This record gives sequence, C-alpha cells and structure tokens, in this order.
Amino acid sequence: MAHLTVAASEKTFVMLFEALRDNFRFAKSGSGSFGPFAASYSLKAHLKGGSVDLRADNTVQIKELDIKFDKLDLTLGIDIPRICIGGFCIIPLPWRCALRAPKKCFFDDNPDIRFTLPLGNLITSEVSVTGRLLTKYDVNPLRPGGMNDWDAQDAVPSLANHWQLFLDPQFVDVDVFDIADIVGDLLQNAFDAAIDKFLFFVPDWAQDIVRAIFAPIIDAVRALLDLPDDIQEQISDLLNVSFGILDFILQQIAEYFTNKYPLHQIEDPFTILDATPNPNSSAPVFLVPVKIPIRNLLVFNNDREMVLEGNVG
Amino acid sequence: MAFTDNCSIFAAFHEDGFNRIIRHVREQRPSLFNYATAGVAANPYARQLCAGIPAHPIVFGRGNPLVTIVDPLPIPGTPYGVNFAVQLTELAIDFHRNDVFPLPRELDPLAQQRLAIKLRLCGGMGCPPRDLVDRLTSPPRDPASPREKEIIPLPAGKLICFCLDAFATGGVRVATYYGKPYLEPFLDGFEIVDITPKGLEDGMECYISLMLRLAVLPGLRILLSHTPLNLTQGVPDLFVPTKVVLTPTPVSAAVPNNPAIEDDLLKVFIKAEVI
Repeated sequence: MAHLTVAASEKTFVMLFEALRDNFRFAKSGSGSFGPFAASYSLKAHLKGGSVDLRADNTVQIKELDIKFDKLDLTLGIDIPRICIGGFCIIPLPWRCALRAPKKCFFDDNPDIRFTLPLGNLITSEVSVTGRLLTKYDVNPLRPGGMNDWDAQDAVPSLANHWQLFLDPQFVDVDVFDIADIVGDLLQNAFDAAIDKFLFFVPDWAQDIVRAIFAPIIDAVRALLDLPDDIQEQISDLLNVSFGILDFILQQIAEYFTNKYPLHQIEDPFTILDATPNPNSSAPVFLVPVKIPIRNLLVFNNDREMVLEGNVG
Repeated sequence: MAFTDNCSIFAAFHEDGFNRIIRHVREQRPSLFNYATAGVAANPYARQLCAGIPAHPIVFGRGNPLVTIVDPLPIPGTPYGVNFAVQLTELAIDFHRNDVFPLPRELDPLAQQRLAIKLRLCGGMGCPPRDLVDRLTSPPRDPASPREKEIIPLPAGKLICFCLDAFATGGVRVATYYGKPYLEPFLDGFEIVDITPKGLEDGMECYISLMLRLAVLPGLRILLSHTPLNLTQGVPDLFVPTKVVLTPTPVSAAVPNNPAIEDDLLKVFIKAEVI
C-alpha cells in the first residue's frame, strides 16, 4: 500500500484548474503579403470559463474554454495602382500645349491604404481539451552539483527539485473563429475612412466627381475584400489559414498544459516540519526544517476525484 | 465510495510511511529525541551518551544541536547536580489495527481510533568519582554566605547507562495554534515493561510520559496544510498563490472521526474554501 494518499474532490480539482487557467497568457504577432494586399496581426489572449469533468476512464475533459482576445489587431494594407487625373491640354498649339490642366496623382505609396481593425472584442473562439493527468520529476537544471536540498530550497529563486502534476492533452480542439457580423461594417467604415483621407484636399463640390473617377478602382478593392458579403469568412481564413493562428493556439495550449505550468508542484524533499527555534541558547537561531523524500508519485482520477499516491523514501 | 465523498481533500498516511517520517525527524532533528546536560553534550558529538545518534549530514552542516541541553539533576541540599542524559532511541508507531507489535496486557487491546507506540528509552547518569565527592563534602554552612543559585554540575566520566522498553497508546487530534490547524499527537496510556517495585515503575512511567507529552510529541505536530502535500497552495514560482483556506472537515455522521486512525492509516478529511 502507498505510504501517502492524497485525494482532491472534483470541485477542488476545478479550483486547481482555474488557477492554472487564469494564469495562462499568450501573445503573438506576424505579417504577410497576399497578392495586392498585405496584412499583419498582433494578438494577446487568455483563457476563461470552460467546464471541467473528471471522467471514469482516467481522463479529464475540459470543454468550451473561451479564448478571450485582450488584443487582436488586424492591419490590412492595400496597394492600389497609381492613378493620375488632370494634366490634359486645355489650349493646344502646334507641337506644344499652351495651357495644361493641373495634374494630380494618387496611390503612389505601397500600401496606399492601411487600416487596423481592432477585433479583440469581436472574435470569440473556444477550445476543448481531453487529457490524462501525469506526474513528472523536475530536476532543477540550475542547481549546482552537490548542493544539498536545504541550500537548494533556501536559494532565491529556489533551486529545488519538484514533483509536478500536469494535464497531458491527448486531444485539443479549437473551434474556428466566430466573427461578429459587425466586423463587415467595421471594415467598410475603415475602408471608407481611408479613402476619405485621400480626398481631404478636394473641395466638397468636387468630391463626387473624384469619387466617380475612382469608382472602378474602389469597387475592385471592395471585390477583393469581398466587402461586405463574406468578410467574416475572409478574416477567419486570413487568421486561421494564412497566419496559422489556430495552430499557434493549439500548440500554446498543448505546451502550456503539458510542459510549462503544472497544476501543482511538490518540492522534493517535502517539508513536513517547518524550521523551529533552537532549544539551546546557542547558534543557530533556528533548526533546519524536516524534509521527507517523496518517491514514486503517481496520479490517477475517476469520475469523482483525483488521487495522488506516493511513498516516503 | 470515493475518498472525498464528504470532504474537499483527503490525506492518509500508512503506518509504514509514518514510521519513515519519524525516522527522518529523528535524523534531521535529533535534539527532539536526545536530552543531556551541557557537560555531556560538550563532548565531541556527544560520545559520552548512552546510545549513538543517527544524524543527517545537514545537522552538522548547519550546526544544529544533537541534544537539547538540560540542567543537571540536583542533589538535594547541595548546590551540586549530576550530569545525565535521556535518549529516545527507538520509536515505532502502529495505527489501529494493532498488528505490527504486541502491546503489554495493560494496554491491550488497542482501542478504536488509537495508535500504539513502541519505544526504547536509554538514560545515563554521570556519577562523580568518590574522591571528588569527599573533597566536596561541605563544612557547616556559614549563615552569612549567599546560597548558590546555579546548579554546579559534578564532573563525571562515562555515564552509567540503562535502557527501558516501553509502550504507549494515544491518538491524533486537531489543535489550532496562531490560527493554524495542526495534527497533534497525544498520549493516553504508558507502560514500562518489567520494573519493580511497582511504585518505581509508576513513578518512572509518570516521568517519561510527561517528557513525551510535554517535549517530544509537541515537536511532532504537523501543519494540516502539509498533510495533502500543500495541494491548493498554487505553484509559488509561477502563480500568485491560490487563496485557499484549509480547515478540518467537521465531525458528523458521515465523518465520525477526524482525524481517523483505522485500517493501519491516519486519515485526515479537509475542507477547502477559496477566500
């Protein structure tokens, strides 16, 4: 029989999980060119909600964990072919022009139009994880050889070795982004605002004329962006497929749960009696804490609780 | 039935594991089990003692004492005292059911929810040489001279040693100190094997059980939060520690004993609350 048995009810396990979940943060940014337009993104996200279920088959299922984007800025840049208006001859003379209309060229830059969509609050996604609990023994790589356990555990930061309890994800499923309808309007407004920036110098009475001249190009860009019909799908594809954000999130979650952050960790050896005053009136002031080595720590669960079993070395 | 049907966290120590814990305590905190006068303890590594002290290297590394220093045993009517030592050299625990070692008939059978303790206690007295004693024989006391307040230990060579085997019965209760709940062992029966006359046996049993109750067992109190291996305290280097308060699950029909000592186990039922 195991020397030590510790069991945590499902409710207590959920408490441990929530601490883990609430400390999970990830961030990433990237950019790319996709034909006539360029795009870049910058995201910061955390996890929220979700339900945890300890299952009878020694697995743990976490369902509908919300990926909350604290920031997801998608910047689109569009390169529009250069257009010049004016410059035609008003008074032609033989072999030359006596008077020319003023010439103005547009869309000289690359990209010509750049706008950022703050999508953080407009995109939701969910992740579900099914995995098994496992224990790992973590030998602190920074600990010098020969250092005793007391010195290692007194060091700041600690150089102690640990038993760590992880959730090893065997199946991670991220739902595709659910993008709010309002994103279509947001993009259209941003696009219109960007176009307006080009026309700021044009007097009001002439704006309709200039817009009429630009109309074929503006329509072509709208078509390129599928504005507004399929914009949700477009952005979802851009984020998921082109930038691979879903794969990144899957990878982050898998690494987080499996390797980075344990649900719980136990210093080895484990302090069973704290330091206490020296009973004699001599140095040192305190006696060392009493530590017990933990061996063969195993974890399993059923549908009601998580159980840790180990021996005292 | 699940371990946690009636609590948030359940922790159990099997008697084999608990005895290993006691071994670690003996090796890492020998001064809890060994008591001697300064004259005895001053000898390098207390070689004058009646029994060797198995100590972990950290005890020497950190300069922790091997023994707790006590005053010499006073010689009534004199300012002198005798060097002595008391050592608990063996300590084994057997949680109910009593199936590891037999108890003497005075303590048998072990009551429900109780533990049995088998211990070996060695004592030694430093009897000074007779010629020294002769020199110390005091003349009639000068009424003007002040009375000595400190006990003057009489030098002695090797201790005159004896060892006793004894058994005890007791339990574990939850006691709160400074707002923190502890598992605290207690004693309710003590028996030294085969000492006569009866009055001497009873007197020694009283004295040794007092030493266990007042000195040794309080040093074995375990913080309740340590029993589930600090579960719920979070991962200190990574997280802000989780604000969880652990208290013993109140005794009820569902949890009639907490802690419970049964099936060779010490079981603790804990309630966890997030604050």
